[in-house]
Amino acid sequence: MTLIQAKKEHALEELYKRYSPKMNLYFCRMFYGDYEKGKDFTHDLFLKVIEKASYFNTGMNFSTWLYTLASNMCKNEFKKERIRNDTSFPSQSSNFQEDYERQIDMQSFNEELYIALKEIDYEHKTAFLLRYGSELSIKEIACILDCPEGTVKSRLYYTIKYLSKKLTIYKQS
Amino acid sequence: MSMNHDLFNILPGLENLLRKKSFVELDQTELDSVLQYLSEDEYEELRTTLHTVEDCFRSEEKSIKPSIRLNPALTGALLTKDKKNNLLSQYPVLNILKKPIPAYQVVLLMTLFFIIVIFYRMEDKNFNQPVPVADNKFEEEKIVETDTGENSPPEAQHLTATAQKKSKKRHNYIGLKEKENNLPDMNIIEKENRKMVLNNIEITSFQKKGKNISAEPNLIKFLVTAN
Repeated sequence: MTLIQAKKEHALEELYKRYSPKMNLYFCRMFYGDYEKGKDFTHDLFLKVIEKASYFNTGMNFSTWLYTLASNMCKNEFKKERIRNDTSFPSQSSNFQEDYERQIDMQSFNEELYIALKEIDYEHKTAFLLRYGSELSIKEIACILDCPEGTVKSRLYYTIKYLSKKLTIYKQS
Repeated sequence: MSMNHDLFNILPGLENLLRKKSFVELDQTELDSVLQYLSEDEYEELRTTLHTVEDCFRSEEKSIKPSIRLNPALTGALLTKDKKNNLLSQYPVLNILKKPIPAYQVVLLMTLFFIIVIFYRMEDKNFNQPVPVADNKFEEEKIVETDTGENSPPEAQHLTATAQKKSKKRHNYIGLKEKENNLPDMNIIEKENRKMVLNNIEITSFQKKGKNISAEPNLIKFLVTAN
């Protein structure tokens, strides 16, 4: 990141290589499986990294900073969406290539999961996706969402509880 | 059982247990603490949800393979920023624009502070202004010749004369009052001093005109207070 601040192109390339897949997935999940939107947002996120490179504190964890930027971008997007009142559900564009049957099962579960996540508020959804999607620690999530660790735990528990009531497909199978 | 409690905070290890152990695998201590809040079914329900979600995310990670090649637009953005920074290094004053909000807040606060200090200093100057020895200003004014009304009918002349008398009386009375009221803000002693000077002037002018002071209740009041 220090190299990015010094405008080194190869440093940006390295960061992009390391973090873009994770961020792409995070955005994709935040936007209920909309892969294309996830890609656009990843691009915008790295533009922000370039713009705000001078604000980055080198003593801080870069990944936490990146997720904070990403979460803020999602928050803004949800605010805009609420204004537009866009309730259309994006089509699943994930290109599963593994076992076909499993893919069908997972896809239907995925769809159910994203429908359920759409009904959850931004804070709960973000905490849940950061924990189980991006596998971040509670401490990191608290730092990203700027709230106490207890609040993160509480959000995680209530989201899991809500999903276990909501997702019925896996129970039938 | 009460699933409604915030169990991840009440039982700090619960999340870990849900991830790693099924209900039958729990040891006695774990079982005791879990059973305080959850039944076997509830525990298994939460565990299955957690596992299915994690499995789902893992398979999604495998299937989605985004390009890790750096977009040329990003490299372009980095180079453009480089140019902007060159401009900043040429004119270091522009660096203030790079500062985050607190810098502006500090500047604003300092400006506000200086404005307040200057305002109070001005007020103090006003307060410490010395009392002038004489507050009458004599200016020579050329009286413009006007129509005295000598040629007007006698009734009109009489009316004009009465009006002038009334106006003069009123002016004499109000003049003193107005002077008293229009005194600038100052401490009580200075105000009283000024009042005394004004009243003395008024008495002198009355005496010069050969008028009786007892006709003016305000001046009588002043004389009584002064004595």
